[in-house]
Amino acid sequence: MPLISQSFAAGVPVRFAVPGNIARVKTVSGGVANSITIDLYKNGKKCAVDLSQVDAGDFATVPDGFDELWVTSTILQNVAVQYAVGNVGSNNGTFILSGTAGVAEQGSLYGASFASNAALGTGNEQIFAPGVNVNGVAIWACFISSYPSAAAASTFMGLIAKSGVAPTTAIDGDVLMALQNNTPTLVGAVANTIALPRPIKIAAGKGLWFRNSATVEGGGYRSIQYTVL
Amino acid sequence: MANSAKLENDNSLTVIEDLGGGQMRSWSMRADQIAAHRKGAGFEALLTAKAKSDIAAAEAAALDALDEQ
Repeated sequence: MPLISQSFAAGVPVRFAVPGNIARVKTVSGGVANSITIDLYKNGKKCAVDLSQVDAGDFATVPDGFDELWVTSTILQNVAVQYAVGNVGSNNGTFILSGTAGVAEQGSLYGASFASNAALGTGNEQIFAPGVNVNGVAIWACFISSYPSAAAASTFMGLIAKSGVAPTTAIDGDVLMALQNNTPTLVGAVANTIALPRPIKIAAGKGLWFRNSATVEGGGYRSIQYTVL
Repeated sequence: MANSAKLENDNSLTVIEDLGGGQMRSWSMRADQIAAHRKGAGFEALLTAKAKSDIAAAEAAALDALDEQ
């Protein structure tokens, strides 16, 4: 479950714009009973769920979901609050999963982002190594924009997932996106762009790279949002 | 823009690497994603030596703050 974990000042509400249908107080550090209040909102309207004066382990489910939560602590302390979309429950810290949220259902909860506008030569730009991917990685969005360094040249950009070492050719691995950009002589360098058509999950053990298998770029722009599961 | 590492209010980490000539790379990761990204040849291994040196102190402070929570 996604986790908010930080220090809260006494009596100062802190807003988090996160979607979900369950919110749970995981830990509190202050040792004062019932020191947490969580107010849940959807579309600016407060949900009819009472999570006031609660403690670690207390949680609430909101059938219609929420899109923001406000956390208030009565004392200065570190608080961890979990929230999630899906059928998720807990009892004394042990989570009972009664359903699995699909990749697309969690689309707004990306955990990491990488972006680069470095001109990529013939070779790779690593997004994450295989060692990072222990349980799979969900890619929510990605785009590549590229143009070659000279007219009558081309770039051949790809987004490639692969286990082991980095890809060595344009088709060395799972090619999730590919963009071949040929620039006519008379026009000069023109950028083309491609975007990932839908979220996709990469199997555990595979790393992810942007790869240019042709002429060095004159310029490029690449961005990706993903979550290490 | 210079090389930088910053711990945001929500405990996410943002790292920006300035490659010069207007070219940059950036990483951001939610608090619960940081440990995974530091495994093996994690994102830090991708940084240039200068970027690594520039942000080492800031990143260490950010991660120390996380560990304390």
